[in-house]
Amino acid sequence: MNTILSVKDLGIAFGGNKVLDSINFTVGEGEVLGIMGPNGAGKTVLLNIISGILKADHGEIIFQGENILKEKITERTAKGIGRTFQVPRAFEHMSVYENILASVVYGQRVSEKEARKKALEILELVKLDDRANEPAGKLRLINRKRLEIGAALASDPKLLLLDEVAGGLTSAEVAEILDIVKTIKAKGVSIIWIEHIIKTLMEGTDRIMLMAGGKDLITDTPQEVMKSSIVNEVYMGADEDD
Amino acid sequence: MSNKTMQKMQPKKEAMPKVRWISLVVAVVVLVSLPFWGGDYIVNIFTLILMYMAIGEMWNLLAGYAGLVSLGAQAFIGLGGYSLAMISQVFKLPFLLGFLLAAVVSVVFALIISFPIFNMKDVYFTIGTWLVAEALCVFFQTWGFVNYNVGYNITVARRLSSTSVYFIAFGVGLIALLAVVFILRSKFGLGLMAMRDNEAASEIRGVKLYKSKLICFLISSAITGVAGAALYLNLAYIKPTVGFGIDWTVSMVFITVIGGMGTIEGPIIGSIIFVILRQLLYNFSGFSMLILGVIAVVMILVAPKGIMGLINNKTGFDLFGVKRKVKISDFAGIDAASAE
Repeated sequence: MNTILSVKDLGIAFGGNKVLDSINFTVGEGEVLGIMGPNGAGKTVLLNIISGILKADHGEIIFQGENILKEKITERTAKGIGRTFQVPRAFEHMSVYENILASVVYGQRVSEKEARKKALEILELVKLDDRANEPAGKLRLINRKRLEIGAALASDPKLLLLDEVAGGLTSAEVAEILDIVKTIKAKGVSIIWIEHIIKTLMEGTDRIMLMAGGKDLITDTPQEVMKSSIVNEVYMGADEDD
Repeated sequence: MSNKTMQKMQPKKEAMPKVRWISLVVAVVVLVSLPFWGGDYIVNIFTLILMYMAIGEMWNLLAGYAGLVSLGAQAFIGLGGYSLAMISQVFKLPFLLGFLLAAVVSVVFALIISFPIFNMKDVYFTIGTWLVAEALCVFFQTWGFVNYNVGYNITVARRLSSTSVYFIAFGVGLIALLAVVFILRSKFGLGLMAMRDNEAASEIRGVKLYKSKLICFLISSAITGVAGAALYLNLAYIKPTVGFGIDWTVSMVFITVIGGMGTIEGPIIGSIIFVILRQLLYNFSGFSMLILGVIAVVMILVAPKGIMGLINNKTGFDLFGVKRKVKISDFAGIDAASAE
């Protein structure tokens, strides 16, 4: 499997407080890498750095063979990095269709005419075709999550960053989101997926990276990570001897 | 696509274009024919409404869509007014050239000040624009070329009939309105609406914020400058403290807030209310701004998105068709392609 993303020695501190401390990992083409860890582990900060919202103090982000650390947010989007936000950030007064259309137009740098067909395809993929003309601000949570994924897909990303897209949903809704993620993976898109719902990560990812205190503690298959005593330590505060 | 989906999307499709077209045709017929059946007073009122609508639309384009809340728009009103005064009074050229000069001077000035003020964020940008306008006012007061603080009588205004001034105001109002409609119906407008709703998210989706804001600022400045020339053609006298007075921007803010920020229709409704209220409060000049301020505050508390925001929320009304809609046939095309 070819590597699409390679993160090396990535670090950032806020006012002397190290939030990320020398993070290293890779993501293969078509691979889904899950990231788990307690609150404050630095998971969202990591996605913010990869997508360009935050600037790292040190390290490298090699995306498709190129260090993108100094690239602007919009350039990273154009190069093929899409992302969702933990709290969905829809364009509230625009319709669902307009949300996706704008994201295709600007994400892929195409004309509105060229973007229409792609926008409709995405609406069908995230199962929002029946709500296309509804204002995004009136959607319920599951549909806002679907829209968030759709908007992130609109730039035709090679790497999709998902930040707790299943958070706050019922188990039936989580299953729907998992289905959508699997469909995206089947199209060959690489995914980094932050999630607190362990069962979903176990089912939907190829590997899991466990983070805590701004460090990457272990990266392995979901089964191996769950067997590891480090998980217990991180979540339960238990030592190996206990 | 399911039958349920088709039923959901069908009703919205038919009714709105009819309402839209009837409203627009009625408005155009009334406005074009107004000088032929309306008295001088009515014509003057509509002249003011059209001019205030133009500057309201431009302030709304900046604040409502690009997120640039400016308190310095009066700089361009003053530059527009002085362009008209200089062309007609000093250079004795056809006064319409004053409108052209107003647009050019405003764009050049906007471009120059954009470098420092675009590095200011949020409230600092707002204060920065205000300070620029104040500095311009002081500069004009001490500049002999523009007759210091004395200003100019714009005598050409007295030679024009109220009908001529009305049609100039109609032209300026139409330019402002069409500019906003054209922008919002374009690819650029799609990005602006995304910026309006969520700036950070729009950037992640690929919208270039700096470039979009700069384009908005330049367009808004040019048309505000032209509207400034039209306003002073009506007022017939300009001096720095009035031309660059913050009252202009206060009016724009009131118009936009009352009508509905971030909507094209908002400044139209806002300017009608503003001009009528100003007429009703004419005899209470000391209190008129206070009363307008109270009305604006109450409006913000009761309907933060303005009158048009309320209407839009309840009915989805869109007079100028800037909303993109999906037709059932569009999905049928996608389904057919998928089936193949």
